Amino acid sequence: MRRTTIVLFGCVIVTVLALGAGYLIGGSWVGALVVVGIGGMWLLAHLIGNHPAGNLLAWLSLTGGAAIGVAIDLPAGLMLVAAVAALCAWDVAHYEQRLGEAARIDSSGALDRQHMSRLALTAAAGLAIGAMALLIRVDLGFGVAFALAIAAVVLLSQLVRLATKG
Amino acid sequence: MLSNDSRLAALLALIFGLLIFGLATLNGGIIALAIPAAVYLAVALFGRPTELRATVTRSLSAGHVAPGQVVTVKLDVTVRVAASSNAVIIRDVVPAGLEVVSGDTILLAPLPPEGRLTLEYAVRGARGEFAFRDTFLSVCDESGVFHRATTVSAPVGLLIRPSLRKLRPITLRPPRTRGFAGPIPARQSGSGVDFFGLRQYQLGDRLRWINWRVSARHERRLFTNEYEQERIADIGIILDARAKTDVLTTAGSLYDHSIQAAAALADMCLDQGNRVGLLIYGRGREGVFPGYGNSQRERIFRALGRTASGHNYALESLNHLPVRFFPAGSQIIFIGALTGVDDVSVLTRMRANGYGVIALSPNPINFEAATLQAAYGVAYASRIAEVERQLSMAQLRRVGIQVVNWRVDRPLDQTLHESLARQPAQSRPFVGGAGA
Repeated sequence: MRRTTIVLFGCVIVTVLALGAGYLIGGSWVGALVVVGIGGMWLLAHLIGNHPAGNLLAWLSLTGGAAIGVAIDLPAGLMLVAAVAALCAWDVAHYEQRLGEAARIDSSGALDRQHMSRLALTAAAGLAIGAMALLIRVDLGFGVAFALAIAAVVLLSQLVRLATKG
Repeated sequence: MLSNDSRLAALLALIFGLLIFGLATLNGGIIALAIPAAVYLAVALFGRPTELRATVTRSLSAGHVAPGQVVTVKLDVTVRVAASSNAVIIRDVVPAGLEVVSGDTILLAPLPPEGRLTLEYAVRGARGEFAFRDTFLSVCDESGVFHRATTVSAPVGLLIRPSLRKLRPITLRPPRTRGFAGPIPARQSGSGVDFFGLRQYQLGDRLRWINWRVSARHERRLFTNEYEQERIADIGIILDARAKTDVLTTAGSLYDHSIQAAAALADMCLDQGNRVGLLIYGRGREGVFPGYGNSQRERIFRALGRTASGHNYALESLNHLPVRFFPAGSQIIFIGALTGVDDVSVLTRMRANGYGVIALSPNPINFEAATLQAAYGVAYASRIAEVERQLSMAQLRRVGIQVVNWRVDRPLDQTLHESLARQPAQSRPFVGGAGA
């Protein structure tokens, strides 16, 4: 088994554990079972064949599960950890697909190390900023929050449009 | 695989979805869940490749090979990327009809500091002309969200010549020979090997040429033997490439057999020192002007390597055959299935124009019937077609054309020698009507 596959499995397991634990703490056995089911299917599907659409669906489902968990007042920290781990799993799955496309890979070890270190940094930064956001509580009115959200959406859209054009 | 655009769309959908859900429920925790994805997107955004420039130099181990021979394709790629992208994907497009026997045509490699990469693989294939052209290069950011791709053209041609089976020399008797010594009897007296005639002794004749037996019967007169000069000749090979005379079956194409025959005959005639030309008549009229030697062999093999049967409304009939392409008195070797309605009349006219003509006809009926299941109708149809074919060939023989009916499952060498031995060439040109 490749090292990246082990990382992918680890990320999925962390996601399932964090989400499952959160739902169990909240007393939702059904939620925990659904999360374990999705995680199990993702791992199983990956063992059969790396399906891009399956990876996307699993990632969106698990992140959606985290969002629902936060909405029903489950421990937000666990949900954030689950969201970050799911994002990492999705990234590693895509990375493996890219490698699978090539008939010959030069210096795959170096490529793996570079990718993993970069992903670890990104995940750590996301987790840290997300945790800070959870800890800092600022009371904003709906109007201000809405304006900020709209500004964020517009800014992000412009940035992406600029990036894809350039 | 999901495209990079789909990945970007999925990320944006998730971020916006969480933002909207968070706002709708007035829950900051949900918005906080969007932050890791936003960071991920931001990192991808800053690491995206903004510019990709590449040069590709392609080289082949040989540009002209025999069928089945392995050719190594080497690509030297220089890539310049304005980004922190760590890997490049290089995909070379292999022309259809070639088989990759070793090496890989897709490479994923980390970008070296100087940007130089090498891709090497080996291919082989059947007869044909193949053009290597495009190489695709793609780089993306570390997360695979933003990508940049380019296509670089590095055209190189590979020609796989027809397979060659050596033939034993055949006896050719063209109406006219050229001035240089060769293997073809010239119907002129001179120095040679074969007895040609007798004449009265003249001063300067070699004493060993005197025919003492004849001279003994005459008083005070001596007679010397004359020998037939052996010269080279002009040989013109005409290959019928019209689609309507080709037969395609599961066993292959009849035209491929015609090509192999043309290659073998050209090779044999050039080996004997003759001047050989080639005319391919089908999709167009491709000609190799008559010439000698190895360079001419290469030219003919190249032409045969890239030819394919095809259709051209202007060239449906052999009437437009540019017969004057070959010098007067040449030996024409026509290679074709003889299935056209006017083939007989055109070949007859060539014979009447003073060319020596050999018609080598791969048998299309036998070739096609071999792949059909044995059935009552098939057997009768084959017999009727064979009778019609025999009639056409008899017409050709009557006007002095040597006809070789080649069943392609038999060796060409054997068929040629058997057929030509039974039909000695006529020196006198046929002077009848074209339809005779």
